[in-house]
This record gives sequence, C-alpha cells and structure tokens, in this order.
Amino acid sequence: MKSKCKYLILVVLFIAGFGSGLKAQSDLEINRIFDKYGKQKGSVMVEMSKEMLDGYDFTFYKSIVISNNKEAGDFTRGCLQTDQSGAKKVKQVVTNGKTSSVYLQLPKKGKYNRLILFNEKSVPELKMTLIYIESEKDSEEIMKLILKKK
Amino acid sequence: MKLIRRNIITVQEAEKLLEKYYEGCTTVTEENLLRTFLAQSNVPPQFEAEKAIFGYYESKKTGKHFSLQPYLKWAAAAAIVAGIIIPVSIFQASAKTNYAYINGVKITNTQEIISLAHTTINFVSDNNEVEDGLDNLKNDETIKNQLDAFSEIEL
Repeated sequence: MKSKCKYLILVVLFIAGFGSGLKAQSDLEINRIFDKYGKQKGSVMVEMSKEMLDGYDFTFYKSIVISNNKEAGDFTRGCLQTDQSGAKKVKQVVTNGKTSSVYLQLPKKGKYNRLILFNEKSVPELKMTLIYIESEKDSEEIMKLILKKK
Repeated sequence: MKLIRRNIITVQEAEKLLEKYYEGCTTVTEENLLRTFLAQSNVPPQFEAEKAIFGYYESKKTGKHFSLQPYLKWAAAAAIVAGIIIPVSIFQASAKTNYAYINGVKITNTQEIISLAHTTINFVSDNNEVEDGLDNLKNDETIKNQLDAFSEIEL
C-alpha cells in the first residue's frame, strides 16, 4: 500500500510538473532568454495568454525588451540560431555580419502558428526586442497586423 | 428434530434432514449440516443426487463474485489525482494570464501590461530596416550598381 501511495504521488507530481512546463514556447531555446534576462534591471518582459490584445488576435504573447546589454543580444542570436532550424525565415537583416533583425515562422504546434520577431537597434541606444507570438491566424496575417500598427 | 451438536451427522440423520429439506422445512443450521455431510468424500452412493444439488449450490456460492472494492480504490485515487491536477491547471492557466516585469518589478495591472505589449510591438513594427532592405533588393538600381562592380573584370 505504501509503495502504491508513493507511486501515486510520483504520478501526480510528474503530471503537475509536466503541466507547468506545457507552454508551447517551452521547447524553444528563446525561453532561456526570458528566464535569464526577464527579471533583470534594464529589461521589460511581458506575458499575456488567452487574452486578446486590442486589435491583435493572439492566443499567447511574450516579449522582452533589453536595453544596453550587448551580451543579451549575442545570447539571443545564439538562441535564435538553434530555433531557426525547421523554421521559415520570413525576413532577416544582417548588419556588419550580425543579425540585427529576423522574423521566424516556426513549425505549427497544434492549431497554433508561432512566430518569433527579433530586432536590435543601436541608435539612439542599444535596444534589443524579442517577441514570441502564438495565434490561430496565419503567420502572414500576424505579420500584416504587426506591421500595420506603425 | 433434536440435532446433536456436532459438525458431521450420521447417514440416518442426513436422510431425515433431506426429507425435511425436500419439504422445505429445514433451518439454515440444518442445511449447513447437510452441506457438510454431503461435502465428505465417503458419502454413500444414495446421496449422489443430493450431493450434486448441494455441490451445485456450493459452487455457485463459492464462485467468483464481482467486487467493487478494488475498483473503488482506483476510482478514489483517480479522483484525488484529478482533484489535484484540475485546480493546479486552472491556477497555472490563470497565473500566467497577464504579467509584466519592469527592471525586475512585477506588474499585474492589465492596462499597463497591454500598453507595454503595444510599445514592444511598435519597437518591431517601427523597424524599417527590414522593409528598406527588401525594397533595396527589389530596386534595380542597387542590383545594377552591384553588377557594375564586376564589369571591369576582364575575362
């Protein structure tokens, strides 16, 4: 009976742990960026799920803006390098040999389209922006929605 | 009929009890005595029919019966698991709904979070480099200039 109880507790813990890590972006390398820099000084991290941003139709949204942190930009580029395998590179800008901007269309997960947007600007200050979006909408539609908001 | 207090009855007693049994007048105790008697290995052949009857009832009685108890245990375990997982999932779903961190300080104000998200999106959508880069590629002038760089090379 004791071993049965232990087994049951393990199952519960496993399922609970599995559930907590069941975010669609959890399989992505960029998750490390949110974990590493999300709560640091100079960072602005936003997470919205099951909420619809006004004018956008996203199921999940997570973003981070990091200011004046060169290392963060390089770290992000490294993560994106991993995540871009299997992804469709919608747009990319390479400046001085470094990716300064990239839009990645990731393979669909379930019914959700997933998109990663990365941008790094050095003027007026070094600022890196990374956005992860999940939506039932087509990636092209998401892009149009974002770019339309200029 | 006065029964001797013992488990095994004699052949005569068994015959009398069987008569009572067929008349439907036996008590539970008497039937149990008959059952014990007939369950013996050295029962006289005249009791074969009764042995068969009691054997049939016996096998019916001792046959496998369905018990809910083990299933109830598993049902209770499943209910506990569900009872833990469902609230945890709901809590996690609600906990991750909306939040933001500015310089490590957590913000839960929905309007503020939405505003921050809009600002972040604008950082990306304001980026004209991508559009400009693509426009340049489409621009014949750029391509022409780049090709001109090779025009002086003699083959």
